[in-house]
Amino acid sequence: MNLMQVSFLAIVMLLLLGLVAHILNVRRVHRRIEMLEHKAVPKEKLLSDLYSCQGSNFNALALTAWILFLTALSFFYLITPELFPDRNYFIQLPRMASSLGGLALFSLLGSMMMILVIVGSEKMPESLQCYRLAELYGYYSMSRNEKRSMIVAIPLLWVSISISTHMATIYPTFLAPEWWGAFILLFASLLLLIWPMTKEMWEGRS
Amino acid sequence: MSLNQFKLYLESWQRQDPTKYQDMIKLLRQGDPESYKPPYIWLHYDDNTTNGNITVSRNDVPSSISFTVENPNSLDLRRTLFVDLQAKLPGEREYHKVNQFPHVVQPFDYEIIEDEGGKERHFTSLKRWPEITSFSQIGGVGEVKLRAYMTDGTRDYSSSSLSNTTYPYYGEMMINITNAPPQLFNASLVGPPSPRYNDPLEYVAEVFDPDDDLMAVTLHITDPAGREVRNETQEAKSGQVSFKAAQYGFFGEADAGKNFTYYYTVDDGIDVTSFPPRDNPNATLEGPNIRSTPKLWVENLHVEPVDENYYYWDEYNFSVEMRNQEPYNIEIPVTLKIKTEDKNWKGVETRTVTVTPDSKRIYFPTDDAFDVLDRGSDFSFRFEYQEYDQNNERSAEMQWYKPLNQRLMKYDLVSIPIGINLLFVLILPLLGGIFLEKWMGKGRMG
Amino acid sequence: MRLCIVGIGGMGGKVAHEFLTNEDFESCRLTRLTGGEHITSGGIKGVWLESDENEAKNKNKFFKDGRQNPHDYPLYFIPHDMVPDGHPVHVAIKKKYGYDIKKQGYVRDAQYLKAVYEIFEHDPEIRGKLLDLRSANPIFDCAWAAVRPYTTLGRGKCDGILFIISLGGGTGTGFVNPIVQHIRSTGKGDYPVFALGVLTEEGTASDREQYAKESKRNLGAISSIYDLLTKGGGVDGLILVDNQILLSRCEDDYTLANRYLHQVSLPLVAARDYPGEKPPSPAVRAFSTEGWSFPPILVPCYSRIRRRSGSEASLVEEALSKGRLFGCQPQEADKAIVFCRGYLDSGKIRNAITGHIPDLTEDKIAVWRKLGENSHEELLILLRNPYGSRGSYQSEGTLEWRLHRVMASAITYMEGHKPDLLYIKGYSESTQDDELTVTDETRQALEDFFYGDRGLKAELEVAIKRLEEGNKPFFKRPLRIFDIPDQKSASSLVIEDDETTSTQRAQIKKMIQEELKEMGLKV
Repeated sequence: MNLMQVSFLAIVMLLLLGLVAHILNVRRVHRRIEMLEHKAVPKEKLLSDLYSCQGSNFNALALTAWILFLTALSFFYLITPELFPDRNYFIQLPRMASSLGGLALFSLLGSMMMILVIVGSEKMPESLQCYRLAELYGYYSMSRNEKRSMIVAIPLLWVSISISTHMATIYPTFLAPEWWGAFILLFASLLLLIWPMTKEMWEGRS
Repeated sequence: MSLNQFKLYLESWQRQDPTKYQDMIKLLRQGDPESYKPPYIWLHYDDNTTNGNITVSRNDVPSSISFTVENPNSLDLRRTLFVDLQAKLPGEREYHKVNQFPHVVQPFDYEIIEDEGGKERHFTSLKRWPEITSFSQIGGVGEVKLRAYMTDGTRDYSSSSLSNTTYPYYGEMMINITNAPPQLFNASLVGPPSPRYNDPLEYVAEVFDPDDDLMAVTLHITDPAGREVRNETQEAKSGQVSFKAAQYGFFGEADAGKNFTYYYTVDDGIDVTSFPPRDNPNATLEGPNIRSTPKLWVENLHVEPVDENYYYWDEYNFSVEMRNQEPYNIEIPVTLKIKTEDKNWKGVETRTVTVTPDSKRIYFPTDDAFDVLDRGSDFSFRFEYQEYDQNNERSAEMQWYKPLNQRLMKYDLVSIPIGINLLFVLILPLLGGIFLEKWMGKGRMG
Repeated sequence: MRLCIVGIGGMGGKVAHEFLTNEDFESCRLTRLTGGEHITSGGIKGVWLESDENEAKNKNKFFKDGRQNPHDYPLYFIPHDMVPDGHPVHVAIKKKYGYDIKKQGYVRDAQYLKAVYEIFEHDPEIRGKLLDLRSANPIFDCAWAAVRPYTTLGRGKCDGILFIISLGGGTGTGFVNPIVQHIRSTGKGDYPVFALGVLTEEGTASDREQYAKESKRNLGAISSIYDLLTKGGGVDGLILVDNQILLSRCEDDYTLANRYLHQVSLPLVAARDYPGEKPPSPAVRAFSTEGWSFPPILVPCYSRIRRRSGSEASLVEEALSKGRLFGCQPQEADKAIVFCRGYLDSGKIRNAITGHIPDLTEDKIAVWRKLGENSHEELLILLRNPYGSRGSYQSEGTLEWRLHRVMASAITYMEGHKPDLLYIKGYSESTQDDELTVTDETRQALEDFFYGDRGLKAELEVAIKRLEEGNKPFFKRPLRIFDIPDQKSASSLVIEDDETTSTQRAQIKKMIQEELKEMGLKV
């Protein structure tokens, strides 16, 4: 496996970690509450009591960060043909990619896709409402400082996108420090985005 | 038993029990011997005539020609008669049979006609030949004599031996059989307006024979002087006929620059008709005018990029030197095509250029030759034209020694287009996030 | 339970700031785009009532001026602005009583606002001049109008009020009772109202901050406590916090102390209740006041430890031993209201409390749980009336000991500062206060209030005796500055336990029995 593949795997694993952490957290809370209440507690009731809104500004920026994450991921892996030689942006949509607004259009595609995922997740039933992306952080206790730290992911992602763009402009030239820079920023951003879940998973272990 | 019943018995014995029948005849003849009399036959034609002439066309149906037989013998003496229709064509000495099978008149196959006063009774039989459906079966045109010819197995009898005949009876009948000549319509020459000698040309026409004869259609190609240079014949019934020049090899390279004409002749076996008629030498069908074939000289293919880096988005100036080996200018369309790893001779541009006897470089500047899929690829380019060059080819190509640059993107990071793009990259997700929150309101206390 | 936090005065505003800090990411432009709201932990709302314009405008950057843009949030109000300068009411009160109700910052005397309230409430002459202001009691009406929209009595969602005041300061101390009285007088007698009072610390450290010396502060504090604990239909509980203890835990940093106070309150106000354990404020109120005819004292005991299994006992132990925010004897408490955050078993909590306080049976312990942080668990126990043993006033760290000292200090002040209290010309000892001149009528009323046979001094002396003997409650009889016209002091209607004869007690018992019989209840 080459570096691109390994890095992609690492990102995927981190995403999975966040997902697994979230699932575990919800299950753990449910299990513990039922144990303490000495009776079964409907999951819908628990989730609605568990949920507390984090504020519109934070929520908007969190959603922005997730949309930007998918965009940054696409820029990092799908613009140049290193990871997917036959399935990258320039091969699949050559005219659009090499047009004047190619990158903006690519970003639009990525954003629309993520927005659809977010809107689609709203269809989750009440017993699975904790998996609605727009409500994700409402199930975690987050201080203002933690929220501010998480929002830092946005400028990090934008820098990652800029670096990925530069890598595409100089392709086929490859600068390892640049690549590492973009990847680390992407990785770090994802870490920030899933931080509440992993923190809760770690702290909540018995 | 009545007389009629007795007659019926006789007839049935004659058919089914000849022994009994002969015994009865002997019995009846006892005391009254009788001799066999010869029967008589006439042709019967009950159609309108004009001045005594009967004129028919070959495809007319001779439904009104028939024969009459009168048999003076009694039933027991009558013999079965076999009758044919015979015809003598112009110039022939002998009569020949027209019908295939003789018509049979049985001994009992007569009607009784009483003359005026009822003193004499005549036994007659009026018949036709049903298998004769057209006068063309008689086999000729012109004045034809017809007669009826009969035999009873021992003697032959002919209607022509009877001379006193009155309408509608004939001993011999004279008829004039005419032939309808074949016709030809819509003759045309299908092909390019100024064809080369080897271009696809097709002579097409429609032929028609009223008698539905099989016709021999001949195409005659003549040179400008009117001399026939070649001809080909096809047999055809009424309908369309076509002659493909390539199939018959009508024209060769030597015919380049010549103007030809053509005409048709159609023969239905009796008449031959020419289209256009040959009595007017000026009435010919024009074509084809074979164009002369210039020969090109093509050399020095070249491509000049605007940027030495060979980026796929750059402008490239493809060029070639061409001249006409013939001493005149010609205008021909030339097409530039490109081949890369992604594209297989994709057409880039077609232009009509003027090729002169003097060598001239023709340029095809374009920035649309390549796209991003061609980056890093080797490329070849080709000029295609409709005339032959010195190598007897209609194209010239070349593989360029240097491949295209691998670079993906046209712009640098620090440039206005990329800057604006990156601005959108930030703004779009932000707008998306704000819009989603505004719409769903998950961050509000509610 | 969703409370409306009303910070009154300087300290109240600072603590309210901690409660009402926007949990959301702050950005004006973004807020306009997203239509965002001010988000607080537990969805609480609040307002700051202040009397000093300078404090409110120049030293504060958090609360916005409610007069300029009522749709902003959070807001501060200066209630005395309701009465325009030179208004007939302003003039009349000044003329009749000598009080200038438009004075910036008020007089830092607890009884000052008490007096102003009584004037508006009961003086028909003054009330007659209020017609154009469309309010019977404009200052306190305005204060209520600022609070009401956030409550379920308005169109808000808060089902209870928590006043945060500094006992011993100026504005806070004097404002609470009048507002609570005002709320009750509008017919909302059962609306839950709690007060969190921070008792001024001993010593001179706060003298400059509070613009008054310790003894004066003690007088202001104790007279405020007195009013809060004796007002029938007043607050449903006075949560007492000793600033001395707060500062000792926060390195004498007032800002840290305010923050600590907020943290201590989180089990009470935060969100994420256990399913089925979301107590409405009336439920808390009912539990708090049940079986006690006066507003109870609630002493908060707080603990926070790293999460581990079986932590209930440790939490309770920590809270009752080291976590008391006011000196007290937990075993004297007659009820315990427990708010906790974490994965905690309510049965174990009760058992642990009972282990420490055997007299508290299960029905006297209410436990409400929330989910908190995974790393730590928190416990807040409000002990009701954790005092009442004879001689405890001598033991440092008890409630009796603390209040005994405050009362003694207040009495000493009253004895030594009569001219100051009666605003006799040349009285002023505070560099901040301008000299007040009150009318003779007012002065007489004040003299009766402070020094009369049934005045504050006398009541405090009786209360000290009750404390020493471990009697509950120690404040019983409400006091007024001005008599209600055509009505004697209410004090004459109150029967004092230690003054009744056995005959009188027998008569009273008989009267009660007859009343109950008439109501159809068996005795």
